Amino acid sequence: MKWWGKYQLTPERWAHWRIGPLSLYGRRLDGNWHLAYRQHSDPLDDALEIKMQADSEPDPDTYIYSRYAADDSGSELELSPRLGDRPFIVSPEQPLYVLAGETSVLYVSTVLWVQVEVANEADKVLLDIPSIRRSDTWFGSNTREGELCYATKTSARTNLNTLQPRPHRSITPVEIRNHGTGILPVEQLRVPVTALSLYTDPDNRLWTDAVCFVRDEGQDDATMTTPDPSAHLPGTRTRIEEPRAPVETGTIVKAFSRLLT
Amino acid sequence: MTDTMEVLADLSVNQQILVWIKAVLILLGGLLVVRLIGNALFRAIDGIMEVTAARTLKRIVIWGLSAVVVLATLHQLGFNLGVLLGAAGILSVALGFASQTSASNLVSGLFLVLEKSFGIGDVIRIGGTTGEVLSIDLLSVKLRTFDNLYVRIPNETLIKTEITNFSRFPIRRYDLQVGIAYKEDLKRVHDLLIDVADAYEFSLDHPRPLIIFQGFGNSSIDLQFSIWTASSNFLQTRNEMPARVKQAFDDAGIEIPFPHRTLYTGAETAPFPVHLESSAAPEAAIPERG
Repeated sequence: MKWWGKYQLTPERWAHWRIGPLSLYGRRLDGNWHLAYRQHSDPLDDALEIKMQADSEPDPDTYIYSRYAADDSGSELELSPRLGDRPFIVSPEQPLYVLAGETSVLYVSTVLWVQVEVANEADKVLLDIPSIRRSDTWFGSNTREGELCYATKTSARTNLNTLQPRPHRSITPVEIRNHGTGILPVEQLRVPVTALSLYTDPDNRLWTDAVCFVRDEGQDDATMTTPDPSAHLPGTRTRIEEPRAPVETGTIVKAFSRLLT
Repeated sequence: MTDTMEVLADLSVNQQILVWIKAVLILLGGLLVVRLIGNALFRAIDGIMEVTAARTLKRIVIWGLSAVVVLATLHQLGFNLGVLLGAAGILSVALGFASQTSASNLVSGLFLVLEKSFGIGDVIRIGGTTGEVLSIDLLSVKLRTFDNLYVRIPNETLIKTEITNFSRFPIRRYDLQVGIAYKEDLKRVHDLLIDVADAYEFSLDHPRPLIIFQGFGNSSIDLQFSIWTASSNFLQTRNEMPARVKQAFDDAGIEIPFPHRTLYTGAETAPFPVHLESSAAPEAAIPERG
């Protein structure tokens, strides 16, 4: 079941979407859009429920309420998945080592943002929120230079079939090529989601462009390159979102945690 | 003879006019060239230095070269520059004494601008004043404190005083001093604090939170709980983290002790006896010396 798309709301009634850890309510009342949401922090929550007439109302104590004045817009809302607004630092739950001369493909999943907008109207975005309570992290070789990112843990599966699909996460294939002579520990990976596009496949799973890290001989740093766009992605797919930021081509990124000294 | 005299007089007048024309040309041409040099210099250093510093440097270069042009013009007009420079020397000594503070501020301002310790919009602490930098001028720096006061700090003071720039680096560490009772399990407290940090969205995953043993205190085991956060979230972290730690300790039944005092009346005296009688009036509870 997919949760993105257009929804016709019943006037004056709350509609409710539960997308993993995100609980979202929406209502059209007196020419206003009323929205209420809350996220919890359980990354394994894979609940997916859509009710156009919710059984209950959002609790004002625990939900964040907002109201948008839009008198002449219809009563149709559109929900879309978006990738995060900062890169993700992905830590495999178990350490992974890529042997010298080997290439490994990992499937990592990152949290999606949910964008709520008035359907059929340009530039009427009401909300753009992460589907889980975010966790900040710092990615840099010291505390003076680096960038703020989001942290996430992943099982970093090498077999796609063992990856549990979750409605609030997208899958990024990460190819790691170790052309160096030593073993390459993959403790953390920087996935630049702001520069990736989002796709959906016939099974309604969400995918991003693949990312490739290459460590050349004699180098400590791994260089991010843009692989073949179709590498490791399902054959039939539809692009549903453009990247938030221009693509980081040729950027050298310090992709491995041992540089975080 | 008279004709010769007239010709000579005419020549002299013409030469005088020529000198004046030359002087005006030197002045105008010189000032134009100085302006061009100034602008070229500004363009060259604009990207390298901050705008304020570049503008100040441009102004100094223009003033200096303009002075040379004016002197050259005066020289052309036949003024004895030696006398003028001598007088200028005496005048500058007098002015120097009179404007010692301003000159000191001016020079300090230049060093400050070149040093780039802070920029406009940064939050800095100078002495006891913390605020946002509004402007960096030749004589002083203007701050807006968080209670919305306008503070002018002379550059001379800035050069001599320690300055803390809160906006320089994007992340900061927040240190919370925590005391726990002696009976508590340190390992359990350690794990609990790390969980509190991990559950807090503004606490950075990396660098990892730190727990530093500070010592066995009078009434508690003293620990420092340090978490990293984005500088922009620092205030919120400072306000929210103590409440979260307190809540976690309360939930886990970990005691945050307050100072204990044991009263001792000397070797020769017995401890203070307290007699409690269940239905006694409050006066009866007054201890007796044994």
